[in-house]
Amino acid sequence: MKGLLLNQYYSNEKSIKGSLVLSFVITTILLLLPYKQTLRLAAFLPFAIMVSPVLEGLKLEAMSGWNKFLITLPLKRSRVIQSYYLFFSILLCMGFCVAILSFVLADFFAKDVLTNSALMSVLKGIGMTLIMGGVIFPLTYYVGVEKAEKIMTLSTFASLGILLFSGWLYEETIGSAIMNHFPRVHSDLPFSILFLGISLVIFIASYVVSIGIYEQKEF
Amino acid sequence: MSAILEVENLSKCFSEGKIALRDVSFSIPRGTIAGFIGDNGAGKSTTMGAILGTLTKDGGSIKIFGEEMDSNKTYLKEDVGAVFDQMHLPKQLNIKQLGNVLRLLYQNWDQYIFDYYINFFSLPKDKKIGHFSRGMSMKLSLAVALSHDAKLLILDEATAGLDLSVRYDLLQVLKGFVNDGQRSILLSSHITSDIEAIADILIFIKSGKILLQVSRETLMSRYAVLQCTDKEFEQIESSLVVGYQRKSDQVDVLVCDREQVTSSVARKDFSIDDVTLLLMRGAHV
Repeated sequence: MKGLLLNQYYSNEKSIKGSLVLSFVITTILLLLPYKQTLRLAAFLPFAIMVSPVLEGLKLEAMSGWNKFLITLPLKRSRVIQSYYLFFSILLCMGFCVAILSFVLADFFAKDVLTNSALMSVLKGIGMTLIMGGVIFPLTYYVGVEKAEKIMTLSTFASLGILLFSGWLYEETIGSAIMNHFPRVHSDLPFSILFLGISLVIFIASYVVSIGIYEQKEF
Repeated sequence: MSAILEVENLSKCFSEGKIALRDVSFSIPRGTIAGFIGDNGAGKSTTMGAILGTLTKDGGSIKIFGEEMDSNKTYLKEDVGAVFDQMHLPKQLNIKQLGNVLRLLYQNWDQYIFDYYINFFSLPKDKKIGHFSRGMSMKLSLAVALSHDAKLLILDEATAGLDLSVRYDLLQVLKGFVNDGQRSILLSSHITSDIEAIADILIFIKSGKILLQVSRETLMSRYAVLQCTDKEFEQIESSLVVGYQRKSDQVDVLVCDREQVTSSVARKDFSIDDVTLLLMRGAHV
């Protein structure tokens, strides 16, 4: 596992460093802009940018044939999938650190950035990124890296669609009941936590599906 | 000599319905190099893929060190080294980084041996692998395969497209690999001179079927390629005929025991290339 992670780090070293700088700068600038709408984008971008090297890495591995060589290594196939999901999770955590740093820095220069609403947006940003990963991995293993761009677009729409649909479903069903029971809680907190939970379930289910696909894959 | 690799009745059919392997059976004893010979699409790479686990088999058995090969038996994979017709290593890395990665993936990784082969092949340690020439790439692939104490090497067209001096270097290294009598190599190559130079056993495959497995020594000392008329061909005992090819005015026949064929039938000096041509283009009894 360590070897697989180290290989992914070496293979994506430049893009990880680039993503770190890029996501920090863009997020901070977005937070300093005097528009409320940019907050949502700023809460999603650091995660999306930070995990983007994973898809690039999948492409590079397929192009170099390393994914075929991996099968000959003394590893179970499930270990390979584990390493991808773990690497994705590590990058997501790095995205979280970038987001926190950007929010703290922006809050230092412009007050009222680090608010409860910001925290809710960050939770949704993490959730959306998890759904993106949950769509990207199994689809890439199933249809191949040749369609990586289409898969990326599909995953973005899927995460947005699930966010909007679950938001609508929440409001239509349990939203008002929860607010009646917990009137002092921030109105967006229950849904943000629920959405994060749904995203985690999708991510874990995606991991199981990816292992199933990868076990059958021929090279 | 116990077999290091035993393949029995291996079959493989691709999803398009194409039968790639039909009851393929052969074995490789310890301390030998087996040359795997056949035309493009004959089933060499499919057989190797099934052994290495990159392809799933539909039927049959593959035993390595007497134990059934299974993709979950990672300890068996530890002892098998693979070199494909192209380098399949991460191109973003340099050799130092690759060594760091493989050290963590193979329990028996020997960095000293890896460094030895990197120096022996004069490969640059700090250059990205993706920028290597084909010759350098294949040398690196072989260095990797030789650095984790593998007992069995599977080399699929590893010498294809290499210039003479690089091929010479690789073949010398392969000869040395089996010297202790405990290791074996399965080597496929279109360049039969490479196989002729180092193989102890020859395995001929055509259309997914094994036509012949024979030691090189037996082939050259006991077999014969006859050039006979139709009448002479009919008089040869069918159990002696391995393969034959009808030409305009004669029949070329590969027989498995030259002593049992009357000396009046014309024989020709033959090489592995001649046998390969006869088996691949001819018919079989």
